[in-house]
Amino acid sequence: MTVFVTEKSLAGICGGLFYSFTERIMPDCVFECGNRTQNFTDKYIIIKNDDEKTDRVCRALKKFGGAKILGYIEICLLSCSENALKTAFDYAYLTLSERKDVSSFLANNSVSEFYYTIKKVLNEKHRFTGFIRFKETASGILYAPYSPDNDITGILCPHFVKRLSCTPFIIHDVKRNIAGVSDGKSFKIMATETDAIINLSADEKKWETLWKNYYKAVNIKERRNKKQQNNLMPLRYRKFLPETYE
Amino acid sequence: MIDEKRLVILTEGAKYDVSCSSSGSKRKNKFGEIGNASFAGICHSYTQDGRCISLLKMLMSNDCIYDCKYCVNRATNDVPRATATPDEICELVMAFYKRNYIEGLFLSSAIVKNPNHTMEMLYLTALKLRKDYHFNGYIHLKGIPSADKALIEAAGRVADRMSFNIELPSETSLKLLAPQKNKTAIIEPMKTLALDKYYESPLKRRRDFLPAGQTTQMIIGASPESDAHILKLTEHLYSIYKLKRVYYSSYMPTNFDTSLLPYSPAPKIREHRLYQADWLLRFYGFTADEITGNDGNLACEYDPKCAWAIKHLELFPVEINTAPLDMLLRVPGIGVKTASRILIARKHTKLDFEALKRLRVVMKRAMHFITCGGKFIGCKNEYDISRLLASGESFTFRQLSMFDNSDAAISALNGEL
Repeated sequence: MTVFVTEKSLAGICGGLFYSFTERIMPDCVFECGNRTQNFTDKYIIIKNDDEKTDRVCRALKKFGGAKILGYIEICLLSCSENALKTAFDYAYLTLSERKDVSSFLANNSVSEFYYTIKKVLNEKHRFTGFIRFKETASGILYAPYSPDNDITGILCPHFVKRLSCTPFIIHDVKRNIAGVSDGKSFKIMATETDAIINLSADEKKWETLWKNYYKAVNIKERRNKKQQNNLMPLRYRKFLPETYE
Repeated sequence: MIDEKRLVILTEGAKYDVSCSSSGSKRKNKFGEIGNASFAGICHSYTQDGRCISLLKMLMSNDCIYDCKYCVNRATNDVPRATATPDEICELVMAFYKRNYIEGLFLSSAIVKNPNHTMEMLYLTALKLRKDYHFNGYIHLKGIPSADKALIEAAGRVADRMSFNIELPSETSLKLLAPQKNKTAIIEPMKTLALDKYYESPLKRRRDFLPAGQTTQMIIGASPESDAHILKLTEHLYSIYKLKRVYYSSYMPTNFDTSLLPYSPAPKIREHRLYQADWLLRFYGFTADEITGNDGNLACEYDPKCAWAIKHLELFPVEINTAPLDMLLRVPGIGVKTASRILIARKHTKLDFEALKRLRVVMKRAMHFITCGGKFIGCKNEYDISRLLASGESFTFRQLSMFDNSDAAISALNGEL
C-alpha cells in the first residue's frame, strides 16, 4: 500500500497532487503527519510543502474546477472523518485528470464522498448556529464554550459577527483549545488555555433560569417523543446547553 | 424583568400553537441594530416532545373573553391568568436573542376586552421591539380575527410572518366548538394580507410586506371531518391565499366537561400522514384527490406516496435513466433533492443500482418501482409490495362506530340527527 504523509491543509493536498502527477503514483491512503502508527508493509512517502508547487496546483484546480473548488476542499478538510484528506485528495485528483469541473458527477464514488463530507461539516455548522449558548460576562463580552465534532469555529464565527453587530464575543472550542474572538466587526482564531475563568454579569443567572423555565413550560408532556429529541439534539452537544441540565 | 410564574403561564397557554418556524425571511443586519433573519430558519433547541424551539412562543395575555370549547384559556376555565407588558416582552426577547437562545418572537394573545384592542397591543409590541429596542430578527404575529383591517395591514409591515388560525376544518364545526368565531372573520383578513402582498400581480410579491408570508393552523380529530376534506381545504388555502404553510395539530383533550369533544386524543399518526400529504401537494405535484383513499382518509400503514404508488402499479416500473422529473418525484423513496441529483448525475453516466445508493435513493421502497438500464430487482406482486412497505407499528384495532361517516357524526353532534 502506498501512503502519502502530508499536512492537513490545502498546501498539503496540493503537494500530494503534484507528487502524484509527476511521479505517476496514485496513493491508497493519505494520512496526516504524526497521526498514525506506521507499519512495515506499507510504503510511506512524506510530502513536503512547497509554495511554488502549491501555487501551480491551485491555479490548475481553479482553472478546471471553477472558482469555488478551493473553498470546498478547505471545508472538506475541516471534517473530523479519518478519510477527509483522502476524500479531498481524490476529488481534486479527479478534477485534474478529467480537466473539467466534476461537481456534477454525483454518481462517481469520489465525488459523492466529497459531497457528503462537506454536507456533514456544513450541517454541523448550521446546527451550531442554533446550539451556541452565550453567557454575558461582567464586561459585556459574550462567551460561548462548545465542543463540535468538526473544526467549524472558523466557518461559524461569520454568522455571529453579522448577527450580533458591534457586540464582541468569544466562541471557545474546548475540544481543540481554539477560540474565535470577535471585536464586533471582524474575528480571529486564536489558541487558548484549557480553562477559561469567566466572571458572569449580574443578571446572567436570572435570564438563564427564565430560559430553563420557558423550556420546561413549552413542552407538551402528553406528546413525549424522546427519540425524536435525541435525533435532533444529540446528547454529546447537551453539555453546553443550560436548558437540558437536570 | 418578567417573573418566572407569569412567563410559565403565558408559555403554557401558547404551546399548543404548532408553528415555530423562523424560515422564509432573509434580512441583513443593519448598523446599530441587533439581529438578522436567516432564510432557512434556525432551530435553537428541542423539547422532550421532539418539537423545535426556534422562536420565543408566548401569549401577551391569557385572559380571554371567548369560550372556545377546545381551548385551555377559554373564559369559563378556572386557570391562573397573567398578562405581560410590551416592555417586559421586548426586554425578554432582547436578552434571549443576545444569548442565542431564540431566533425571534412568536407573539400571540387571548382576546382581551375586544379583538381590536388585542390586535393593537400585539402590533404595538412588535413596533416597539423594532423601533425602540432596534431588534432586526424574526417576528411572527398571530392575527386576531375580526380586528380592524388597518391594524392588520400595519402589523403586516413590522412582522415577518402573520397567521390567522382557521382552528377547525369546517364551518359547521367552528360554529359548534368556537361559537364566537366565524369563518368570514378568519378568511377575510387572510385575503386582505394576500392581496396586499401580491397587489401588483399574482407572481410578484412585495419584499417589505410580510417577507415570510402567512400561515394557518387547524385542529385535527376534534371534529369528524375526513382527511380528504382537510386536504381539499389545504389545497384551496395554498392556491387562493398563497399561504406558506398549513399546520395540523392533532387534538389533545384539555377540557373534559363537554360531550361535543372526543374524550381521547387523536392519533399522532394521522397528523403525520397529513403532513406527508401536505408535502406531496406542495413539492411533488400531487393533487388532493389523488392522494386520499376511497373512504376519504389516508392509509395509516403506508405513507401517502406509497399508498398512491401501490394503487397505480400500472404506471411502474419507471426507467431511472430516462424518466421525466414529474414521474421520478412520484416514485416512493425518491424525494425532491434526490430527484434533482438523479437528473444531474444521469447527464454524465448511465445509472445503476449502486449509483442510486450513492445518490441516497431509499432502495427499500424504490426498488419495487424502478428499473436501471432495464434491470428490475423488486417484487412484481401487489400483495408482496404492500406487505413489505407497511410499517408494522401502525396497525391498530378499535371498535367500529355508528358514526364513522363524517356527515352522520356532524349531524349527531349538532342535534340534527
